[in-house]
Amino acid sequence: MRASSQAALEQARERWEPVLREVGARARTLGDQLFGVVDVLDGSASLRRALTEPSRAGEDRAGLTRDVFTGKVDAEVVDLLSGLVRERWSDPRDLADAVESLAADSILAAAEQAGRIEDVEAETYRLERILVDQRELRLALTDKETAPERRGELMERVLAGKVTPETSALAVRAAAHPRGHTLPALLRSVADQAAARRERLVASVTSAVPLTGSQIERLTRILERQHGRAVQVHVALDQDVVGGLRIKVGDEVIDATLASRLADARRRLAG
Amino acid sequence: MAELTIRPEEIRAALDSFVSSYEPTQAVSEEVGHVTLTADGIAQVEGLPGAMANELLRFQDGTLGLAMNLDVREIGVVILGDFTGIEEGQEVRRTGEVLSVPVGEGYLGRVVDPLGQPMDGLGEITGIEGRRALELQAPGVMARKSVHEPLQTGLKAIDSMIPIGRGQRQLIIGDRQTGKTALAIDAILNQKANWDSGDPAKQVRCIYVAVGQKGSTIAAVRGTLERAGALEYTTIVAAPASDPAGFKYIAPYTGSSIGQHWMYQGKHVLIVFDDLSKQAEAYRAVSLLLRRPPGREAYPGDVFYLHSRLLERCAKLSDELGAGSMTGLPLIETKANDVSAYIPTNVISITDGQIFLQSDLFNANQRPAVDVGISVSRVGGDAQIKAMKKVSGTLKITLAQYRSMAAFAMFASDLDPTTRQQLTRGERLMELLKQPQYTPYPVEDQVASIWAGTNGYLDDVDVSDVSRFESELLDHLRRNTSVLSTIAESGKLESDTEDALRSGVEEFRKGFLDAEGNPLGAEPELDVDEVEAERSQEQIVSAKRG
Repeated sequence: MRASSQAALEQARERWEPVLREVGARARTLGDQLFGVVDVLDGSASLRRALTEPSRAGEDRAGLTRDVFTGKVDAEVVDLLSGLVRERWSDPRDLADAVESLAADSILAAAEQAGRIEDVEAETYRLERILVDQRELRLALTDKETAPERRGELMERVLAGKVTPETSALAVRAAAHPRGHTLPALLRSVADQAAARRERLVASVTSAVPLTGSQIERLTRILERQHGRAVQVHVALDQDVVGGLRIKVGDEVIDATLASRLADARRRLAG
Repeated sequence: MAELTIRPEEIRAALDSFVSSYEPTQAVSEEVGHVTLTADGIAQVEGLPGAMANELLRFQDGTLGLAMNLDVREIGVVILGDFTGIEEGQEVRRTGEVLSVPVGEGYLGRVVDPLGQPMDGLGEITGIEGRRALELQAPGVMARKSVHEPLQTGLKAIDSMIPIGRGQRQLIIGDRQTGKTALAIDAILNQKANWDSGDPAKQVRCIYVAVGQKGSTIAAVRGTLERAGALEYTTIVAAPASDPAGFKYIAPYTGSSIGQHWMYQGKHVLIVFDDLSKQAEAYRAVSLLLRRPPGREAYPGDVFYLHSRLLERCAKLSDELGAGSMTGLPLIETKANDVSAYIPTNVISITDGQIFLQSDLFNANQRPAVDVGISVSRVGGDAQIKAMKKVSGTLKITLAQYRSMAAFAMFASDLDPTTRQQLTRGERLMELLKQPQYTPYPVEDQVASIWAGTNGYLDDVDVSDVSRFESELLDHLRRNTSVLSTIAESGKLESDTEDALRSGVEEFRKGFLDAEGNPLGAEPELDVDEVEAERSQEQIVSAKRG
């Protein structure tokens, strides 16, 4: 997304937060409706283009939004969409991406209000790791030949009863309508969004052996000092690293694993 | 998930009413666009549905831009000015004006930029008579007349064999440092006599368009013109090498518009484009940045049209339109004398002839380094005064024969007299065609000089003495005969004028001494002895009597 779309999305997010806080549990419904809007926008290129038409006044575009969506979605959603289309968009597809981001935000807000957002974050992260390991399940969930609804049903069956309703909703949506992204990447972005909601950075730690509670605490403190923000540490187990830790925070990777040291030594002996 | 179902018909109906409710904004100034992308010298602007092709747009910091690409959702803008102050998201407004420059008499003697703004620090341009769009059509067929008046460049090599007429386009093509600019400047300097005469039918206003030149070169040209008093009838349109590509692209059109304004008023204009290769390169840069598909040598597909619409504006107008003219001298730089490259072949096919400057001739001290064998003027004799047409008739053939024999020059002693005579004549004629820079010759001087050369009066002069012979001959003719003024006034070389010329030349030859102090055509030692003997004899006689 280029700067104009990014700015428009930020504006919309700021306006949407108070609304989410106000509606409370209804945020889940609003989120579902926003996902529906994304589908409508994806389905109609002319609607997408018209809603982001730079040569028309913002008021005209808002009028079109109201024409199309009033009565089909709640009033708050129509208001949000009217505000979104009044902004300037670098590309018509950015509008759909922005609405999708806001939809995910809404569902996470519902989880937050129910006090479950940490669970959602942890569960989404775990789910992503599981999918990376379970190849067959991943392939089945990302198979383009099957209908989106079937993929969603499969995801729902796999997760039945084991996760919070919000995690289930987001995972089913990611499986059914990936919109060009890979499933693990989508789940990761949901986890990032949840952590961002809690205003925490996500640190993915890969280790060969489970870490003790005090080790995790020490690591969290070190990372928080380094980055100046609250950090949420998620630990994944992988025998291949042999020993040591690999820590990924945002775009930075600190590789202190034995596996990489062995590979380095191997390279030096070979050369 | 949401069961949000909106039927396609509902969407279509809503879109229909959205589209039909569109009303274009009435005031140009109310339309606001925004910059979505900015790169070196170009910007993409969205909005501004009413923008016209080639309209001038104004950015938030006051810089102007040219709307070149009108796409579905955005406009590709060439920035005419400094692009560092333009950021994404800035507002852009229309000016409502298609690219145009002010025109008028006030441009004479000034140095301006491609938008018509003065650059020489002498204040605003006064005497503006209106604005003229840069993309106006060239005069049509019925508006033109054939070229019949000469434009004297003052260079013997050109005015005799490759004459230029008023309204012609003559390409000056050659490698770097072969004297292309010098040739064009000499042509401008030669118009001084016409300007001083005050006769509007003779006066030629000159425009020198410098595209991509070094700033020092433009300053040097201005200095030369000022020293020679030529700046009072010359305008310099400067887009130096440091200017953005947009300026270099439009500079020739600016010069052409300024000239066309005078042309349509019935005046004569000479415009020099120095040089068009750099304009083509700037246009290529702008087109590639605007993502237009590249063609041969990465030039865009319409690079021919770039030059053809520029050069077609140089014309000779019909009498109904005032009989004005604009003569074009485009300059093209070739690389390694390759005239079959893309841009040179394009411009050769557009112009009415070309003057080839060869680097070999230049290095062999033949300056101007005009290769008369392959240079051609498609107007030819129509652009020469009758006198010049008469004397130069045999010149080209003589030089052609000389060139074909030149390979034998080193065996000169072993050849038959005819061949040797051809070589002698050819050498002296080539020497005659050499001319120092900034010394244009009036046409009557050229006629006399070439007449003397082609009629064999130089054959016994040493090659190294030829230029001195010529200057002293012309001096003699100017002072002692009225031949030159007769030719200048009448433009003809009648038989009586020719006779007077012949007697003048012969008389001069008697008194001419070569570099060693010997008169022409005699054996040095024998002559001196004989004369001395005679003198001594007389002395004895007079002494005896006395």
